[in-house]
Amino acid sequence: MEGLASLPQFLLVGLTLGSIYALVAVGFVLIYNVTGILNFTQGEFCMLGAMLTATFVRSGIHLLPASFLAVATVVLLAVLLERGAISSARKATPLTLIFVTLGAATAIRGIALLIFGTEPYTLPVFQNLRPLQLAGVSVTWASLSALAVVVVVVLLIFFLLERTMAGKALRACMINKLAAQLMGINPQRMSLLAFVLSAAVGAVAGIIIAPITLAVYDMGLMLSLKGFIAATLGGLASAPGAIAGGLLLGVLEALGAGYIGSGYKDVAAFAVLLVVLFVRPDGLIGAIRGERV
Amino acid sequence: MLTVNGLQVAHGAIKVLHGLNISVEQGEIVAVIGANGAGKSTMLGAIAGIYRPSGGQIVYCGRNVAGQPAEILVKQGIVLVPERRQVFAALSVYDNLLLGAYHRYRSEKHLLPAEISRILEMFTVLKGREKQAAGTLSGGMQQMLVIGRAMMAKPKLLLLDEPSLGLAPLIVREITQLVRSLREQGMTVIVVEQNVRAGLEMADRGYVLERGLVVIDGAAEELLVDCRVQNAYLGRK
Repeated sequence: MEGLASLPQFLLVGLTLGSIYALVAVGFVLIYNVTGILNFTQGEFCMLGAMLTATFVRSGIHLLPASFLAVATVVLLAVLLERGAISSARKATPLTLIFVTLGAATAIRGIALLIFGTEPYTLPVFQNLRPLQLAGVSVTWASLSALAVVVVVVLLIFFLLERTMAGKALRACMINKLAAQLMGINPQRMSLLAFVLSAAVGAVAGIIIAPITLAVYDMGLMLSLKGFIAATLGGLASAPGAIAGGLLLGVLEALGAGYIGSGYKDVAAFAVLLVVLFVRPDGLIGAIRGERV
Repeated sequence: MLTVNGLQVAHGAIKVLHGLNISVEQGEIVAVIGANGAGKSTMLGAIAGIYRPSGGQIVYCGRNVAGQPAEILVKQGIVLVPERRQVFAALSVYDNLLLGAYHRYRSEKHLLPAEISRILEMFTVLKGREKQAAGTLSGGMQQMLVIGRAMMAKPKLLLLDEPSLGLAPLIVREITQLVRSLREQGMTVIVVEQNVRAGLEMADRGYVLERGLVVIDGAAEELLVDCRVQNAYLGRK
């Protein structure tokens, strides 16, 4: 049993993990509010971001261009997915489209298994640097860089949503699709924009988690579930809510793993989901059932 | 400017409009009145491109636009202010107005700040509240905002769905004056109202809708004293 002395260390681990969940959750919220779909390929975007970057780095490309190339590839895949499977089936109910994303996620995972195999990939970043010691807390450079990247990505998302016309149109579409359409905003174009943004953010999340937890072909499923729980915690309605939900989930997981046992890490996450579903059934289920035109 | 011929619209299996005919001349304010469920909002929705008609024509400026989506019709000058206000609640008053000009943002970006100032001069209740979240405004202010937002789209044909719904009489009067002033700016307006008196007081002409069909039409002043309208909607015998 750990004492209170370990609390800062657990909090740091939790915030690092939580910041990654936060990015996945932002992807969920963007797509959900524009299209009414819970996109379960979100975790696969992360997996592909991680696996592709690791593969490119292995083949000798420097980390930064490798990351950009991976993000661009994932975005291209998201465009194909949105245009090919989601937009063309937009008359289907949101529930059907959620199953489409589940199917696409399974297909992506299967193809990833064929391409990358079952072995875990590492992303060799900051491996030779010793962790910093800050007030008794051991901070790895991978954690620190992950947090820094998340802060930059979150700031970029907010700049885009708050300051650009495309971002304002996307928010308008998230708030009130009908009114947005009546202002000349094309909902299908906004759906594509939401997929592009979510894929880019998801791929970045995958790249920053790879040096911390290794990258495996089937890491996407759990990330999707965690991102979904984080988005649910945040009320599924806004990017700030999703970020708060992600951080909270990460911290709860780290505390669960630290004080109860690492085997209970996921138990903490799913227990949180159950509690949210029990305490706020209308908030979540009502929102999912809400028809969107 | 607009001729609606034999318009039929169904929501699923339920037919709402059964061959509706109305026409609107350039610069006119036309009120469409009728009870709840008569098909007034559905008619506006079909003209604005929210509902796809199952039959009939919507001839706007000489072209049949029936079935075109709303985001295309906005560019051609048909702008709907939907009922129940529908502001972008989390966005600021300024951003709401800016989004009104979304379809011409690229080409006329430099003109928009001045136009927003002009709208704020017109809707003085919104002045000084540019940064306030639209959802925190009062009902009357929200109604002013959505009309202002629609005007940012530079409509030729403005469609107002129940602008007086749920508002205090004083504010209804303000909105009536506002709608009448739009005519001086060369705008053509169709206003749908359950508040029959407010609707007809805004308008030059009126149509009375019952169960998806026009049952009475005429000059607004005449309809206000028409005994059928009075009996059915104004509570007089």
